[in-house]
Amino acid sequence: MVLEKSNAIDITDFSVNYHIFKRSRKKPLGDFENFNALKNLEISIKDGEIVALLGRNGAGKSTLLKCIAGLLRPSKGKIVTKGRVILLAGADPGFIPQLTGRQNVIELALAYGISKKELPKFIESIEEFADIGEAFDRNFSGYSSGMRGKVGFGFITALKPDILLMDETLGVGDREFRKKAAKRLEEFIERSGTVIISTHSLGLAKDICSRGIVLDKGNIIIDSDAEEAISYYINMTDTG
Amino acid sequence: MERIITLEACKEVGDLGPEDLKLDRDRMKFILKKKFRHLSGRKRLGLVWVVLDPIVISLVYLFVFTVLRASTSVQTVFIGITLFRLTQNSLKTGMNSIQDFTGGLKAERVRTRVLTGSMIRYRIIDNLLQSLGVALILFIGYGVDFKGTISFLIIAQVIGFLSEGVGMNLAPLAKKIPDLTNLVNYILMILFFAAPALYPLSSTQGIHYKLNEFHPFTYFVETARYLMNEQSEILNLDYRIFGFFLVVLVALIIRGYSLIDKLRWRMTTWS
Repeated sequence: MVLEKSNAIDITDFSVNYHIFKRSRKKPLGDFENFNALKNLEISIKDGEIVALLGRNGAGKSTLLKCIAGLLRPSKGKIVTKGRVILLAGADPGFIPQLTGRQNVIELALAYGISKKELPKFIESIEEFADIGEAFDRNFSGYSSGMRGKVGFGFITALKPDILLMDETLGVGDREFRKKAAKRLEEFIERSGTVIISTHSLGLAKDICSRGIVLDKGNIIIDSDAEEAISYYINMTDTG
Repeated sequence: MERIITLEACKEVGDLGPEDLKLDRDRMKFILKKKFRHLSGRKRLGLVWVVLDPIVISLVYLFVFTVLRASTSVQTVFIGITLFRLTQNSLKTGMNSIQDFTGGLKAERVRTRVLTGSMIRYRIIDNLLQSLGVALILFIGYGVDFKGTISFLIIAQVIGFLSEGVGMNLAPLAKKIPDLTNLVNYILMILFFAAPALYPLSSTQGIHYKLNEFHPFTYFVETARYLMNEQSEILNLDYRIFGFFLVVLVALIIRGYSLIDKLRWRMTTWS
């Protein structure tokens, strides 16, 4: 299959099975069972589109994002992506506890393709955003989860992906930080080409997304404009 | 760059440009450093412990032998224990090779060539660190000549890679059946005492000698002892068996490295 010129992501007849170890009375030594997390998905996402991925916990949103990022193997079907794909899941791009915040940023920046020329500006932008003062030069292992989140979020949102996949990322930090993070996220989304946001924050989805996809038990329930998808999702969760 | 994700593989279409190659090199460096940092942790002596480990273990066994009044040469114990520890550690690293398929970079998929490249570099450095301390002791303190010392370092590299190859072939099975890790640990423990690590093969006899003829480690450790002018049985062993082991082990390491891409992909949905 050749990717259509205007499509950034093409998903065809796509399914995912997890093999989960389970021990039961009948099988005391345990065995692997298949769990069908995504079922025959068909999605095409155009270059520059911002899509909200909605659904209850366990609907398959994170699995789909991991698949698009190339981190999970499908059981059938195909995904074709165009350009660099970054998955923003949590706020840890791969920090090393033995290093300071600054050393982590320097080493990780090179590993994420930031050139030495761009590096000083890149570090400055993260230091300014994280705003953790002299702790930036302290060992990462001593950071609180909030501080880790600030540096991590600052780092990932300083990258320049062609396709950005976001999986519930605004759960870190205090109220003041969340406000700041929302602003940085908007700038990040503007800079990125194509964006898929898996979120329970319907306000965010409504404000920035042009399209919405609702997943339930691994199936696509609705794929339409953002407002319609959000209303459908609200209705679905209200009626149980 | 276009990426195609299917059941069989996660492939990138087209040739890698100079920027991609540079990124891969930077990532290899990052992963390599991360592995060694993990190894040294917060220990004050850091990686020096990797060098010290075979020396300290050898000294402990030499002490035990002194207590038991057993007459074992210091050089024999140093050579045997160092090579056995290397075998053990490399085998375990190989078995764990597909546990982390991200290389520590969690926001973006890294190419398999980056993982393979960093694994090979790690193995070379780790083999060197584990054998260097003992090589220096034998060279400076026990009059082993330069040729013998270099041969020991080369044999350490070979045995490290071949053991990792065996481990890599066991890795998918160990991921599905973690009990295998325990079994391998027990087998290694038996082999440590049964194989000629603590003593030369010439001090064994009967069935013990016969069984060791069918243990690949015997051939490497006895070759090292021979090249370092120590008591060795290598000239009395059947070189055809050694050849057979070499062919099988080389085939396993080639298979292991060439399967990384397939295995890391297949194992993503196993939990």
